[in-house]
Amino acid sequence: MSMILSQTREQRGRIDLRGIIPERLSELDLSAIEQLPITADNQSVPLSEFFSVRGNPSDDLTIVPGNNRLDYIGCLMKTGTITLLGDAGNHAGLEMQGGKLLIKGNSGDYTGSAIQGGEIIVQGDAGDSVGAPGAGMIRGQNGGAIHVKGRAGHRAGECQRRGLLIIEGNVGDLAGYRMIAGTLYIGGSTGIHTGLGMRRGTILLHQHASILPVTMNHSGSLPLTMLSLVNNLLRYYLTDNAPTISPDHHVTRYVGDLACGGMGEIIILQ
Amino acid sequence: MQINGVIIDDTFAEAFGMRATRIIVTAINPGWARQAGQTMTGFATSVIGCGVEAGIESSLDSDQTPDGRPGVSVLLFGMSTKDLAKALEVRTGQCILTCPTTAVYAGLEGSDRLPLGKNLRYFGDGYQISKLLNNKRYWRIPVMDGEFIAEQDTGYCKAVGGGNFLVLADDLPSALSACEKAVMAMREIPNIVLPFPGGIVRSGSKVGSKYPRLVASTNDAYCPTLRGLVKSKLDKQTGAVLEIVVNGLTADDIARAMRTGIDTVCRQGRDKGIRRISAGNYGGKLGQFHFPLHEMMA
Repeated sequence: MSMILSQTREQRGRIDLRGIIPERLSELDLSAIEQLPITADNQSVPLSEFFSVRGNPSDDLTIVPGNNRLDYIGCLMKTGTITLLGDAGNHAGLEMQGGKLLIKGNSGDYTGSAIQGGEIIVQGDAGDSVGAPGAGMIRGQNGGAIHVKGRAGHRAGECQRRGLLIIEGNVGDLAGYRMIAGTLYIGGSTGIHTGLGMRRGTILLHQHASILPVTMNHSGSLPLTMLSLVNNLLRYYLTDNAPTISPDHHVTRYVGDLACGGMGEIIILQ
Repeated sequence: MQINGVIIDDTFAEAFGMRATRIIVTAINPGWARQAGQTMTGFATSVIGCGVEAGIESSLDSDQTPDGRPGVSVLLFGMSTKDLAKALEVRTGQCILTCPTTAVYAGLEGSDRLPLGKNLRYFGDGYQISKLLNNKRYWRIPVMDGEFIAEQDTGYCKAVGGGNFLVLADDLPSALSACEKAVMAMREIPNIVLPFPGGIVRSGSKVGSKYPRLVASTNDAYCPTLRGLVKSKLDKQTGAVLEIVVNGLTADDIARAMRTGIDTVCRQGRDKGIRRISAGNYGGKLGQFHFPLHEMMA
């Protein structure tokens, strides 16, 4: 049986759940877990002030009911699974290194910020800066996979360095802003300036982009064998919603950002 | 021992340790995939002169390859990891990279790796792009027909080379026909290749020569035209001898292939001109892997 954290009292402000991660909890008994410090309403308090703990300590943690003011869920997580049966606040999965974070609602800003490994799945929408660098950081997503089944805000994939970021719905402006490498797939529409400042990496758009930066150059319509390899990954996450990409499928390709070396690409699948 | 009137000599085939790697080559259609595989495995019959032994292991349908295109699986065998690495790089660069529409992927997993796209990427002259997907790195090298995709590296393993058997027949057509059938049957077996032309060797060799520079020379004991001149192992009715050489990833793979090949030849029987099955060995001095024919066919 997994361990279940049930929120028993609503906070006035925000709760910082940094440190409440499976690899740490699995080594403690329930009474010790209840005494773990968290920050709620800008004060350090024991976990038991806001949550009841039941089940057996294991690497499978469920948090209920969730709300959009629970921050830093799964921060620095390395192994195990966290399932959040509701919304998450900001910085869910910050610098996560492994394991799986499943958010069965919406998530706030900076979801998967600077993630190194593991997997984040958001079944609803995500806020701004998915996979972007955290405060004071240079790089955004540096590995692993983030899958947002709904929409995402601005700057999704900012400074992405590695890994796979999938947004099934629409995104705001500046998707892939200053992207360093990695793969970003957007199933819906995009705001302005997708790929601005990208150095390398691949942005896959299922739909035509609205306004691309002037420093992205049209490279023609051609089949790319590499897309079959990428599509194997997309099929794993998107199953029936994965784009149909046959080996001879012609795609429209833009290269750029020419102001930053021009080794990145925006590929429009339609 | 006799099978269907064919005498099986009480001897053994002698094989030796090698290093092997497998790559998957894909292309726009099966024809170009096979073309690339054949080009890469050309002039790769024996390490004695070619530096590497190689062959197409099997054809692959599009659902068996990483990029969903038809392909071939190629096995390469070298006497050392260094030789194998060099041959892999040169042959991939000259035969796969140059062949229209191809891509190349690792065919063996494991921690022992040989560079594949890792060095070839420099052909891209700085325009090559790395793509890391599922912890595998691929190189996208711009070429005139689009992009050449090469996985960063491929695995290699210890392997066995030089499994063999000799088919002694009344005449050449009988020997050739039986060997062709054996090759067809053996090529269905995974993890092995038959590196010689059409899988068949007519110039079986012995170790050494009267000429000091040569490490191998004609197997005079099995040459029909030398009967009466040397200590021949052929009776007067034997008109031709052909050899099938098999390399495999393991000794078991070789044994399975040899059994299949010998069984196929013997099914032709004495009635179709097959007289004896023998094997090439060097008195046990050359290789640590021995395949006793009687034991295998029992």
